Amino acid sequence: MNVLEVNNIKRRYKNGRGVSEISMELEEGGIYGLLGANGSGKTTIMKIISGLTKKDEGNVKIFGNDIDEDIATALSKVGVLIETPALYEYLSAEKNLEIAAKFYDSVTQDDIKDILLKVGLLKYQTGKKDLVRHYSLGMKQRLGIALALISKPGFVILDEPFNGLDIDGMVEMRNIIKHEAMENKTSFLISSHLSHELELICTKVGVIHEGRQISVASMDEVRKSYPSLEDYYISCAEKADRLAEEERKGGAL
Amino acid sequence: MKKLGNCIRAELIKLFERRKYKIIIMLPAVYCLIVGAYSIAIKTRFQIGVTNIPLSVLSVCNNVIMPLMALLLAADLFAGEQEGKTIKSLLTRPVSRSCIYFGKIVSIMIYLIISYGMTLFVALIMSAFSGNFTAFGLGTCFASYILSILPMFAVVIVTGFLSQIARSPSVTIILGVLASAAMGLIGTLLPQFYGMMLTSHTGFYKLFMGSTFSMYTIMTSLGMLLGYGLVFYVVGDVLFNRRDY
Repeated sequence: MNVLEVNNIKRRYKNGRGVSEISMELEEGGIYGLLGANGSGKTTIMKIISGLTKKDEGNVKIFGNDIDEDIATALSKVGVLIETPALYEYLSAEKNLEIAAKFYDSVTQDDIKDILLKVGLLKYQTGKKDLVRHYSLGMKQRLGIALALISKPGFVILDEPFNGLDIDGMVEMRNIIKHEAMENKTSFLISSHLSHELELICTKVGVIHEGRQISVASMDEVRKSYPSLEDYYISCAEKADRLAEEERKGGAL
Repeated sequence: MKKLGNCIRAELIKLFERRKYKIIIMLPAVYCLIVGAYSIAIKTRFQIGVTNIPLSVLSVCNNVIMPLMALLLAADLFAGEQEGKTIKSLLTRPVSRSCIYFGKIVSIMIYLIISYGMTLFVALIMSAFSGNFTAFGLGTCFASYILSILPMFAVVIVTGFLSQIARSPSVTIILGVLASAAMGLIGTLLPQFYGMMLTSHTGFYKLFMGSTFSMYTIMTSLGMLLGYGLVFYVVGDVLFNRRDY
């Protein structure tokens, strides 16, 4: 059974932007990268999958559970970090994690300490009353990732997880993702405009261009045909632009 | 049920970890303390004073202080979280949106009930000091405070609805104040509609007192409160469920 099945989802906003004809499948332990320019629709796709945004058409199944039928069950083994981390800034990192832990039966106080250690937040903390509002951007990002991983989910959605992280942080995050995927068979859906980062961790990559997924390939296929993921992306985007231009010209005639 | 309990616990942690709400919860009790102290002072000097401190304070609480507190809480827990996008941390957990919505309403209610309890406690102490303390009065006070919870539930539901259409904490508070003023004005200018205004039912407990007791009036008021509660709860829940985040 696939961890994630997305079939032909579509969402059009009032301003004409949105996404359409998006389909994807993700197997256990796989890391699916969504690569695209700013505003291409990556976040919208992730919001639809996690139930934050409604879709106009199509369906999404997570571990076989349709999000339209029972979102609570569908999200029971999912961790999410979309856009900026959703943090209560007037609370400490522990309290933020405690609130998240309330929604799961299996999360213990030790798990909270473990995850803080894993994402490298413990070394920055000066005390229990260390409020999130005093955190740097990178620390908030680490806590956002801790919140996504606190329930030991089988599937994690990370939108631009490397935002705000320094070089050490990016390496640590990459290692966490790889470790979770290899050791715990956790599947990831990761969006980024940093092709190099995706190239280092993904098993599969989808290129999102102007609201549509114009190409999907395994990383092995990409490496065989292109010098880098960046070249693959540019080639896909140029091809899509060329086709769109030809369609426009055909329509004008 | 367990999920609802988790939602309520999470909301209460958020409320009671904030200094602002640790202070606000005591405001009605502090008001009661001031009224009581003033009453004792003038009674000592002029032999007159407030005859029933708990009920005098309750009237102001029901009409002004508690609705304002409900508005502030709804503005923060609903509109504030939606505007600050922290609501995503709840919406991406294994719990339905309806459960989150209901959990927030219930946690606001729990907060207000605690505040009512603190106020009653202080009011009874002040009554004892002022010498207006009888067993009958004690029973009436308890019953009045408990009965006041029902209209406040309707008020909380309406504030939850307002926060869904306002989308920001400040607009929620402005809308709430305007709605309250409009209901008061309509009730005054068009007396035939007075009974239909939510603001006219905040003194629900008074219907059970003395010569004004009428089962018909009680049932009518109860029906209005239930009507307000059901309609605004359903619409608020639908709006909360339909929204994109």
